[in-house]
Amino acid sequence: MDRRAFFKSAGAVSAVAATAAIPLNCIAQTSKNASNTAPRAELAATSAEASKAKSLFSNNPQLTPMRGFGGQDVSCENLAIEGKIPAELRGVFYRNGPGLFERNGQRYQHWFDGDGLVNAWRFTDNGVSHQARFVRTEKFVAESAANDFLVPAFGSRIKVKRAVRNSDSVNTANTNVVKVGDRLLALWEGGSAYELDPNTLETRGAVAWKPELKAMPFSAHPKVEADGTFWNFGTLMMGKTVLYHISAKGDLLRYHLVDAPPSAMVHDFAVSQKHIIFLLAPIALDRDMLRVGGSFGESMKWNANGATSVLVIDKNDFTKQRVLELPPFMVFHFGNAWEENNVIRVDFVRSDNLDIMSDYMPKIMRGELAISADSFATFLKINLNNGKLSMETRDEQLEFPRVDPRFVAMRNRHVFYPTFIGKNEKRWGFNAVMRLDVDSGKTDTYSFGEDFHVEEHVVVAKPGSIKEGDGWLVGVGFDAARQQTFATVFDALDLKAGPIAIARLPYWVPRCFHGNFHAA
Amino acid sequence: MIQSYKFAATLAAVTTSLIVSSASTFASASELTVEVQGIASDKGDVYVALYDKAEKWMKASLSGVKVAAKKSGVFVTFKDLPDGIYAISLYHDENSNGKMDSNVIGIPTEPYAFSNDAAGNFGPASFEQAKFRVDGEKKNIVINIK
Repeated sequence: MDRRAFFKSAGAVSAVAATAAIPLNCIAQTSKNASNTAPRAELAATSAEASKAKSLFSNNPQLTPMRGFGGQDVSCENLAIEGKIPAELRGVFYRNGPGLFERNGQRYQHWFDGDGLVNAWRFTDNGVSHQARFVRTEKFVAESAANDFLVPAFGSRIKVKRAVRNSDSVNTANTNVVKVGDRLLALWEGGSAYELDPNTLETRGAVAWKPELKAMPFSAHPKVEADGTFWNFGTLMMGKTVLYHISAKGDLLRYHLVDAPPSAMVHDFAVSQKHIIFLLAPIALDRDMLRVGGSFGESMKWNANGATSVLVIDKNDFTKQRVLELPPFMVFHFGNAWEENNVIRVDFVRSDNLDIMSDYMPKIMRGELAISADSFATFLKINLNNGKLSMETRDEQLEFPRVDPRFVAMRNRHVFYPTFIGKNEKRWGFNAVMRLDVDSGKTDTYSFGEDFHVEEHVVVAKPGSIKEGDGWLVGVGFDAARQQTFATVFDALDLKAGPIAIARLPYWVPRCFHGNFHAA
Repeated sequence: MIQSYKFAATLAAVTTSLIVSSASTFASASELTVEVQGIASDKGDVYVALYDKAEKWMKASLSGVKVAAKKSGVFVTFKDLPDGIYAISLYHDENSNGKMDSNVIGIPTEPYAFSNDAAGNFGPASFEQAKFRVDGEKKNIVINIK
């Protein structure tokens, strides 16, 4: 069977689907009034709030998921399946992203500002179901009750109408979602993790690993080794970083405050067998801009004459560290790190500066297609014997690297990315998936076509297998012609063959940042 | 995203060394009643500090009171106040350890609030934001600590 045919048929469907009534197997539920569960014809926002986004996005239906929801939770049973979901693929694919961008006629200017909407795609013997529920952060609860934005957002100027006592006053819990032990955590990067019920997605509250760690930053990019050992960090604006070492069961084993070269934005890090690795971009914080009411995002200043610092910390002794320097570049996401003979290999996605965040993203948030700044797969060697650094960069446009979870902090051969295939014209994100064989340099890709936008894809190991990549690549995408969000399953080692299965939602959901598949 | 600041230590130091009630000999004096709403639990105490000078704001209070926390709200009265400008800071000492707790980098982790429900932004509200006038015989204000 030609798997590509699954998507060929999509273009024939009218965009009328965007406003079609929600089928009876699906529910939209407002957060303010839980009893109001009648299916709604329009999921995006409540009618009073929808006007702004609707008019902004009317010319670019590819960007619809950036409109956001109005605060309602949604769920749907028995998704339409094309192809066949593998019998061994059972579990929950959790995703998280900013889901609400407008209140009381005011629209956020930056994608990072929205309140966290956690999605659960459940793969069971009865098929695939979907649920999306807003994290009831302190901010979301207060702002829902007031029907207004009350506290500062990352990239928008919001008049402060509610006390900002600590970082959890503005915590949106909107960036990633991961399970550690039995605890499902919705993650931001400036404040606490929010714990959710893994079955219902109900919010249990902000996590304090210890009383003195209350309201401390806990990044959205923990690294979880094959045995479940969980590492994370939080960046403080004082040239300090807090490191966390957490057991597979979810108990804090160690934490430590380490000195780090100051950088106003540290989004991710990497872990090898013996080390913790940071790449700290030269981003200063303009405190005068903050003082006059500038947002945190617009107060970040790129220093083109500065250096990107390479910080290497011993996993067993957080006080042992080494700092090296590279010419300035920005990194949001890492794939993996591993080491042999005292040489650490780190792979990440590199961009020249902050343009993608300061220029591209605000345009997308206004419903404008734009040319994205370049972001390329990059491979760094850190020779700890002689302090020498070397770096190689590929030329595919891509982001959101992931590796087989069994090979985190170990030598890996494959890295998986959403990528863009076509002319780098005005576009939104990525339309293809790619596996890179790091050893050979060869790639294996599948393009969904022009009208599709694909998000981060994750590797799910086949039960009982040990070979790297033996399993499935699972991810989420948006079909602009149908105005629907879908999940796809690929054979992780044969992407070019196209999806094995597709589970379609009858509606669209806001685009997510990151997530993880947790097998049943 | 956050800055280290000495606010927590300052607020704790001020409110734990308070005189428990104020007395004054001023002839024409007012009574100020502060109602604190939005207290999260019945556990612990609420410390309320009254200031009369901007330069002493969050440093040295004129007077202060400690009361047992109640979810339904608590009332604190300051008597014999001369007419003038005042401001209030308060916090909920949830674990009754006599200080405002902060995390490992000094950021407050117990609820606090100011008169006028003045909203600080990663720090205390200013005296200007929190100030109010007392004149006449009686004045009642409500502060939400939610």
